[in-house]
Amino acid sequence: MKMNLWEADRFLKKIEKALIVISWSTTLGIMFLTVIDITSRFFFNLPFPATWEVSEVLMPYIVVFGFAFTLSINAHVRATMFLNILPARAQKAITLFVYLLSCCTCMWLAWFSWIKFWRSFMINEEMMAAIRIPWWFGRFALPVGMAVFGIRYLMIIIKREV
Amino acid sequence: MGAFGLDPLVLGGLGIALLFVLLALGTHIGFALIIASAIGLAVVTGFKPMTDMVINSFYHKISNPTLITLPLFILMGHLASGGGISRDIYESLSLWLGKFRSGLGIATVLACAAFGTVCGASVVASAVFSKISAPQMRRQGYDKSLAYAIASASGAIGMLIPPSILAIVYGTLSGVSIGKVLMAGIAPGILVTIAFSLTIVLMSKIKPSYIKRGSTEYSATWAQRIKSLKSWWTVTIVALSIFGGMYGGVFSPSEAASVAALLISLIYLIRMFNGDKNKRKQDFRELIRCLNETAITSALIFFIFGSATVFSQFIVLTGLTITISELVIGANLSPIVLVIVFTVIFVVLGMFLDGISILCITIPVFNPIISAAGIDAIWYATIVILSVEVGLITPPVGLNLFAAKGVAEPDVSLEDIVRGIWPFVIAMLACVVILFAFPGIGTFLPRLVN
Repeated sequence: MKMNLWEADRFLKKIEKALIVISWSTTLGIMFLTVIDITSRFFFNLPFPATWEVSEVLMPYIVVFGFAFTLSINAHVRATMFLNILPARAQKAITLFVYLLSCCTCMWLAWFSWIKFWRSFMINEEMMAAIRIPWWFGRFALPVGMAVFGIRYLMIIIKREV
Repeated sequence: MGAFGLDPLVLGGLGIALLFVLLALGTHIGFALIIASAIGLAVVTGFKPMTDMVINSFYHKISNPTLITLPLFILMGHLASGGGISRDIYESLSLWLGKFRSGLGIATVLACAAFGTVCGASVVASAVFSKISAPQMRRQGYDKSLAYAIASASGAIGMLIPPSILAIVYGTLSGVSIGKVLMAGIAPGILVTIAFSLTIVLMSKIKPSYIKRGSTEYSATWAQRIKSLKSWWTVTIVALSIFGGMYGGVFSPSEAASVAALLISLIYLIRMFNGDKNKRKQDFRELIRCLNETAITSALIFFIFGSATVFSQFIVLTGLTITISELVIGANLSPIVLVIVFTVIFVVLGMFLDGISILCITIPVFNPIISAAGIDAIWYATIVILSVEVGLITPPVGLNLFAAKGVAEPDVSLEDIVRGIWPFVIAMLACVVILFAFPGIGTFLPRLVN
């Protein structure tokens, strides 16, 4: 059981690392796209089509894909001043409770955003832009990011790392 | 009357109270905001519409392409420090000022202000200069508490001078032009730079034991000093591309961020490929670290940011802000008293929460009242950002203090840094008072541009 948990954690860590690489690669991608747009606009009077819309579809990947990794290194912001004055057992119990609450919130957001993505995918929802850009591609980031985020909360709870 | 026959004030008030309970319990700030607003929205609209509202407003906020400025400015800060730009600026300023008694301290303050033009995150600047300049200052006879307090306080200047992450967050959440809010930070940034430099000089006069002797290590010839100016080219190019492009009407803020981030990345790559094989490997690892750090910092900011939009929607739906606005206007409070009250709230909140969280929580409640009272939005923005900045260097939750402690030498405790920080807190509060007395300091530059 312990071994399985350790392996599951290692696997989750790999997914989180992959997501963080996608996150910063997307940042670099939008950076290059914007610079290409500016250059072609100024020098050739030929703006790159739909830069803004492409960025809109890609932005959620920068944002949501970093959530789980950030939690795994305990970097999300929380105020612990009040908690710190409580006895250790109470601190642990309260943290366990709020982590469970956060995990449920993640799963709730993941599930309902998945439904939204699926609807968008089924009707092949597209943006009104100079080129055809599928909305569903952007919507896919939220359920994936939130699900992995929720699983990381769950892993912390199971491993009693609170 | 609101849902369940509840008065909007009561409903909104209960939501805010629940938010603070969740924060006190140690819930991550993003989830505290989402849970409090989800419960509130469910009471007002029911479960299904609430779920739609939460997901839609969260998604639409995080998919806003204007916000690409945030990860790009964060990336610039990490690459600039990782690529040694901060060290070069500091070394150059040390050659110019190091021979004076308070010179190294002032060099740190000025270097932070210059570094602020390529880095919009004060925590990054504090950590970088606590690592570079504080040990140097100690070697030159500075008391450890003063040396680390200077580095930790000066980091806050970077958050005022564009590109400032707080200014972008403020502009996006409040609807005030991001370009103008960024521009409004320049003069207050210079004001704080002068105030901190004067504080160091005063400290050396009032408490001579704080800076024991003048430096000899940094006595340099004029030729060396002038030669050191070469290292300023990176900062100059990046600053010109941001300011010139944005305020010359060539780029939007997000385009300026893309160009500047690309420039910094190219400079980093050129330096990397100029080194030998070992250095190249080391620099490549550093590059990956910078990219990972950018993704992590962006994630933690955007999480709070997206959640704050949901909270904002809840507050708007309860009608709380309209009710408070009507009460405030009915009470005939003068606008200046109103801003003073809000400023005190910001400074107090700054002791317990980080800057972005404070903005996310307060803007939905305070800003409609400010516009109803007819207060200049840009002037108010400078007051808010500066007041929130005070919190960054105020215990118990001064993030810059923690950043400095994180990289400090082993014999330096958090208490040591806190002991030295108070003169800088007072100097910053004095700057807030000066901004109140002379509103033009914050507003004249934004008025020059359209």
